[in-house]
Amino acid sequence: MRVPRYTTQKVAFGIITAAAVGVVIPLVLVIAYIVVQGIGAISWEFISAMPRSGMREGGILPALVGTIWLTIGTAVTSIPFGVGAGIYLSEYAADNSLTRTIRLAIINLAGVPSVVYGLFGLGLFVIFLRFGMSIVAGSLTLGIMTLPVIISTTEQALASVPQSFRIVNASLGGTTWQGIRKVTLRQALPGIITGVILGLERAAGETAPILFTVAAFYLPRLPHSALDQTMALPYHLFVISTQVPGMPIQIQYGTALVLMVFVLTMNLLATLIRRYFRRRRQW
Amino acid sequence: MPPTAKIVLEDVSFYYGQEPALQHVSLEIADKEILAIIGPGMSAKSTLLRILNRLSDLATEGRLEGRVLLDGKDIHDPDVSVTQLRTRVGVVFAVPVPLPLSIWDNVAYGPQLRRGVSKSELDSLVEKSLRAAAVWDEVEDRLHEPAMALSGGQQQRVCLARVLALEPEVILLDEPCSGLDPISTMKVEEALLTLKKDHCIVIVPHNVQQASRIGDRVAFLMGGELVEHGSAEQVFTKPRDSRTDDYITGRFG
Ligand SMILES: Nc1ncnc2c1ncn2[C@@H]1O[C@H](COP(=O)(O)OP(=O)(O)O)[C@@H](O)[C@H]1O
Ligand SMILES: [Mg+2]
Repeated sequence: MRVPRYTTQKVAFGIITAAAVGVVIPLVLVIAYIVVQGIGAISWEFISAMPRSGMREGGILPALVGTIWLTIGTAVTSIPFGVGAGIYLSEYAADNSLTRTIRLAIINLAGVPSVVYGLFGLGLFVIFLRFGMSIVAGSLTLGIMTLPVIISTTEQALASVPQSFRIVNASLGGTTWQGIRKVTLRQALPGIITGVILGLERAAGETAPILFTVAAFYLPRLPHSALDQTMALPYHLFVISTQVPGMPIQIQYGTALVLMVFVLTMNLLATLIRRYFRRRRQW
Repeated sequence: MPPTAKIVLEDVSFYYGQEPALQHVSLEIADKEILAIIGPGMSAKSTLLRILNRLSDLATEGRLEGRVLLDGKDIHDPDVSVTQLRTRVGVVFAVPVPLPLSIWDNVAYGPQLRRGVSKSELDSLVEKSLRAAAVWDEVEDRLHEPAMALSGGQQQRVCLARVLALEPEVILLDEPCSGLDPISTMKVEEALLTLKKDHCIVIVPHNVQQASRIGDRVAFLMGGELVEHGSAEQVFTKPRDSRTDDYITGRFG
């Protein structure tokens, strides 16, 4: 006997809905668990004071500040090169073996494990270029790790701008660069910003790339300069979760909560920016 | 007095890859006249227009043979600036493509690309161009609203104004009225008849009637070949080639 069509439809609909809901459940659980466990640790002192008594007391200020600096450093190093490369690939590059090689390299870069970036940063920036363990070395390492994301989202965002705008620009005597500046880039901006923030967000939460390039185990002061070492939230979380005996659980989850809020705030920012621009888009 | 040739095509052929599109076309286009290029679909009318301001350069694997002279100067000479050429030879497309900017910014787009044009110069240029394109009355209150919010007919006239703001010598139009209502079409045609007093105009009309309404000269293309070329009166009343006759009397195409 054949099952009636609308029954199959209902079953399929049910399965798909369940899958969609299923995706949300772990996320909600993770967030809820961290909030419940960590909220008790949160206080003004927690985010504004130096750690004390072998990190078992006090706050996480240097780790928070370190992560903010590293995120800014990552942005400064990765945005110009990433957006520039994305513009080049989308608007200028011909389809030849060179650009195909570049694209292949970008795809592969995206697949390199983050600890490999860490080792690469140690070799190139810390040792060879003599930056030492420093915010500069860490930012450059995170920046390189973030490049593939920024390049490919920039390229995709530009590719989604209608070709007819480029032809109109050319037909009015505009150069390719004028077209990019006055029309194409502006239209692609929401997509690019989203990609940039998602890339930075990942960088902010990474431990492996900063492990050998910048992160200090315990340094209860703020960094003096860009060539200084610093604590950073993800590594600090790793340290207090595994390396410090007798660590109060609440401080661990409190730190995780701060890191999570930091990253989710960036995410929210990306969403707001995208929504703002999409509302103004006319095609 | 014979009209002066603004544009001369000398044995021009155009290929997309290996495919020949336009074949061995020689043609003189007079200044201060409207040339209508008619012919069935796929006969390379659009290709011919794009060659005249080198938008054909953008076709991947496009290849041109022969020479195109503007005021006696080969437009492919290495010392010719292609961006400057395109401001001298403006083009309006079949489907209006307003840029995602305001009406004002659309019309001022071309002049703004040049350096040293003041805001007040731009303002008067925008007004003048919109008036010449017969759309000023409809948009004067909303110059800073998005051009995309206009109706199709208004968009097309704003696109014409955008080309006029370049202060071009030659205006190319590729089926500019194909999507327009009769009233917008009439307005565009009236604007063109005024503009031809000091412009060279080449139009691919969307039908034979439009060619007969506004064309001074008519070129009939078929399969990429120039079959016949002459004054509108001659081509429409005494076509020399039977294929032209068949086409304009509607036996095919
Ligand atoms: N960008 C292009 N790439 C490849 N072939 C093209 C391109 N544009 C036009 N052609 C080809 O050239 C021929 C003439 O096209 P077109 O100039 O658009 O003719 P018309 O405007 O008379 O309809 C057609 O066979 C078309 O397929
Ligand atoms: Mg055409």
